Amino acid sequence: MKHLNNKGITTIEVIICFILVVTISSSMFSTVAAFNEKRILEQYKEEIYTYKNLLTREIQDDFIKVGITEAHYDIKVTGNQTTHTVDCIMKDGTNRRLVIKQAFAYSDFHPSGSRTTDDNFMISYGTQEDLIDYPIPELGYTTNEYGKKVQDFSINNVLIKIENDNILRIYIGFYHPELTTRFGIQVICPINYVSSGRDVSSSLNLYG
Amino acid sequence: MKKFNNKGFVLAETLVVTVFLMTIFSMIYYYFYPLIGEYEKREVYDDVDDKYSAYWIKRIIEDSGYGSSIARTSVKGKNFTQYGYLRFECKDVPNTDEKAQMCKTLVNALQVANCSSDGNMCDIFLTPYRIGDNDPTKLKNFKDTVAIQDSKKKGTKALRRFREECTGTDAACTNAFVAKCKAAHIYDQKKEDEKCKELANEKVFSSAFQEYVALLPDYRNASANNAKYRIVIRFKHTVDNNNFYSYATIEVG
Repeated sequence: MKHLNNKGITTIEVIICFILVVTISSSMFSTVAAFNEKRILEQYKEEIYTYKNLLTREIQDDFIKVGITEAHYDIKVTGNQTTHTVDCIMKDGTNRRLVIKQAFAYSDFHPSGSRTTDDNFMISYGTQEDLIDYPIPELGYTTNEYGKKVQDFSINNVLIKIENDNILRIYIGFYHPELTTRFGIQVICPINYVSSGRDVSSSLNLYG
Repeated sequence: MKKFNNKGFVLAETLVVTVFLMTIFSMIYYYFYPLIGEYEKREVYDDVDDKYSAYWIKRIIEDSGYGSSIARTSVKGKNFTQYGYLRFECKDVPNTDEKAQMCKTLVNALQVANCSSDGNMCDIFLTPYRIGDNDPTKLKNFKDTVAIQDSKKKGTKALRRFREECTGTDAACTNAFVAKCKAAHIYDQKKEDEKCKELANEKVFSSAFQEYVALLPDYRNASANNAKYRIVIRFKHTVDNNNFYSYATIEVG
């Protein structure tokens, strides 16, 4: 009867194989980990985009389909909370109100923030009688030394201006440590825009 | 009964498998990774803010009597025929219309790239509705104009700013552009001359803009709204410490 080959493998072969397998596994692990991090960020982006698109569409639909005749902007600071309010009178006689609330908890970035309350951000939009809250997406948080929540995703910059009495300019800037200030809501709309009823094809004719 | 080969595997076999695996994974990485970059680029194509911004510029063009001063034989009209586009500027909105003033504020508020304070020289390109095929009206194909790059081999040269709206010699066109640029007061007065000369020699279409336009459809079928024109806009977002470009298009007319 023929004997089996029982030579086995030498220690050196085992070590070399082990090193090779470890090298491949570790390089694959770092790649997979990087992709996983990317996946999480993309998920955050998607949530931000969904939120931004929904709110922008609500506001712009009203501004475009109905139109604004007047706009007023007011800012109030109460304790650590800043409230921005835009009141619009629409062409159909109804009103719209946009309220943006920012309240920061204490953190390295906001040393003047509250030591007794959590971060709190809220955007509300609707008629003055029926304001609908649009809470910003929660994309993780840390806890400050006073045990209060500091949100990773925050409203860090609100710029509202009525330019030359005929353009309403709203910018709500978001901040996230990984995504920085890249994502924000921008709503720019002429005030009291009157359609002249002209037709561009009668004034512009560039075809032969 | 036939016996199994129980030799196990040796170093040479491990090496072969390792090289094989490494090749496969590096190929996957090589082809997959650029897709992420491509995806990120497309985040700035026609996003919701830019689409609404484009909408308001469209309204200004449609509603203001825009273009009554632009004849087919004018420099702008010739640019449209020769290159398949003309640059929308607020000065072409008749002063008699209240939208002329609104236009200046609007294009700057919307952060349209390269706009002067009076709403001129902006990166708003008015093109035929069809941008990517041989238009039956024999107008130059906009996509072709945008796609031209500097190439010694092919003997092509990308369109420079000074060549826009000018049919004279290069020197004459550069001087005309610098004069126009100075009048627009885009730059600080001390460096105006130098900066305007630099701008005159800049390419009209950046490589990122070329990529955006290349991805747009040709719009071969007629518009459902009977639109004759289209605007393609480049925005530069600088509010809130940002610094990036985005792009949008919408039909007009």
